[in-house]
Amino acid sequence: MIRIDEELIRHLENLARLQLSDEQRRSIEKDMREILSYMELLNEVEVSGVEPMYTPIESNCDLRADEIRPFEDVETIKMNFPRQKDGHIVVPGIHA
Amino acid sequence: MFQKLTIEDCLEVERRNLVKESLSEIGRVDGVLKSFITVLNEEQIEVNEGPFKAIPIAIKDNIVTKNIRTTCASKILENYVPPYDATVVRKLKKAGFAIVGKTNLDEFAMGSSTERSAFFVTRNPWDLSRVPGGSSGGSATAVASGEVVAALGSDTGGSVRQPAAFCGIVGFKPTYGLVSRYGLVAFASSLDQIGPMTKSVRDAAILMQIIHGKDEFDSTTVDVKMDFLSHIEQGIEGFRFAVPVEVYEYEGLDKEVAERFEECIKLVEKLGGKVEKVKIPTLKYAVATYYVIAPAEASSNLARYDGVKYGLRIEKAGLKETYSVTRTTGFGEEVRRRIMLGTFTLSATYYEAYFNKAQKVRRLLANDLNAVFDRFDAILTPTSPIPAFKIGSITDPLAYYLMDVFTTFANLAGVPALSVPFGFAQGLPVGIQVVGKRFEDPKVLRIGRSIEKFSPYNENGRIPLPVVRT
Repeated sequence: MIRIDEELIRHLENLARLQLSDEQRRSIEKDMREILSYMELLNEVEVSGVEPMYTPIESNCDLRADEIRPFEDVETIKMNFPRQKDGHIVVPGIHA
Repeated sequence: MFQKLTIEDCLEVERRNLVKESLSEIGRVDGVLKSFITVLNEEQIEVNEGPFKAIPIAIKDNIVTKNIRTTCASKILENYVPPYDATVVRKLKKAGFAIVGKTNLDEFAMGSSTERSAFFVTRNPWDLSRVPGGSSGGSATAVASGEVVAALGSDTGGSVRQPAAFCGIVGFKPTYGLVSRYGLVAFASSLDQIGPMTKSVRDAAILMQIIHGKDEFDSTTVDVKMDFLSHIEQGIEGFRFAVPVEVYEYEGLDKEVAERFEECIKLVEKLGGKVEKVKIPTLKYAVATYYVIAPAEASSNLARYDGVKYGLRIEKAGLKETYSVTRTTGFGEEVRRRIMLGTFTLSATYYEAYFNKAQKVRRLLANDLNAVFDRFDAILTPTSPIPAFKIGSITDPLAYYLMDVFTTFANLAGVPALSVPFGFAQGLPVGIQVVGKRFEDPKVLRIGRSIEKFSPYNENGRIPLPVVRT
């Protein structure tokens, strides 16, 4: 059984770009401990030599040609920008 | 009268006023039921020429609709207006269906009760103190209460079938790859399928006829044309049914749900079906496997909500801080929990022990199921081990996940699964689940139609619907 502690939760928070409060952190720590302990059940299963099944699709997916097609309603896309200037998205700097 | 109309009934009546009647019914009961996140005005509702012209339908609010707000019941998408229609929406509109509104769900479809919507809880029309199930609880309540004639939901681990069972309607999860996911906001991409929620099995077949098929915008769709209606009345004489012994071994099975299930097995036998108990050894790993894979895929899919291009943004001094604060504020508790869980099982150290291991168990489960389908036409189980529970009564996350015991295996293997109403437990509807082989969707519906047609709880083959008092 792996160790679920505050350090691990903080590490996952950083990977997932979340910022939990102390209370949320404690609550998730407890839930993860309970849920992952249930998942220990999977250790009963002998899986050596078994291919992982990432999708139910058996055959290779058909791909379409990578052709540029103009989208008919660019204005609605722009309307959803949280902040914009001259049709471009404005975001805070990465070095702040 | 409008409340009880099926799609087929609508084809026989004057349809000019159906949209008005739907809106007036929503106006009458939705203040209490709260099925809808967005209801359109009559002027906003698009009615096209087509065989199903002006039949009111509802769409789960994680399926995008052009120029109609699509929220996923999340604060992070509260004001998101999609610039395009999902393929299923485009097909329904082309057939004439009138979309009257967008229904409530557990945030990003993560839940089994619709209590985890960021906006409000939807109520079960059979008992207003109970949940409608989930995550497609808004669609289930809207159909059962008669606010609309039919609806679409999405099913990742039971989210069409379980609310259909809780609300006493028909819910169908098609074979993975049969219905385009283009425009379905992704939760777990290898498990998600859109499916119909209706007042009859024939209506589910009608909607499947319209929405299925290859779509160049979803590379996982398969090029098959199916006929869902021609054989639907032909019965089940000689069909072989498997009942997993694991159903009886499950401790949390409600006594009255078990009784209805037994009665349904007897009915199937009376109709000429041969029922046999079988052991499916890997079935007991389905929930654990599902709750490794689904949150892993979710944590990856939900990485796109960063406050940059659309959706909520809470602006902070730097970009990284903006991401974190936006996501923490925008996502609710259950979504945060699953993102954390998925981030854990996908992280380099634990990937092999959890994510890859689960994908291997998934393969073994699919192999076990395929072996069953070599000998049987379908598997029968109850859809949910319990009927609708009281709002707020299940708070422990693991206990909540374990309710998915009979539904997740169909998503893991990508096989078709139907929930059809069959009587009541403690006065609440019970659903029976019929699971079939991949791409045998019409057969699954045909079996469901036989159960519906001859169920002693139905009147002339019509399922009972609740009377909503407000």
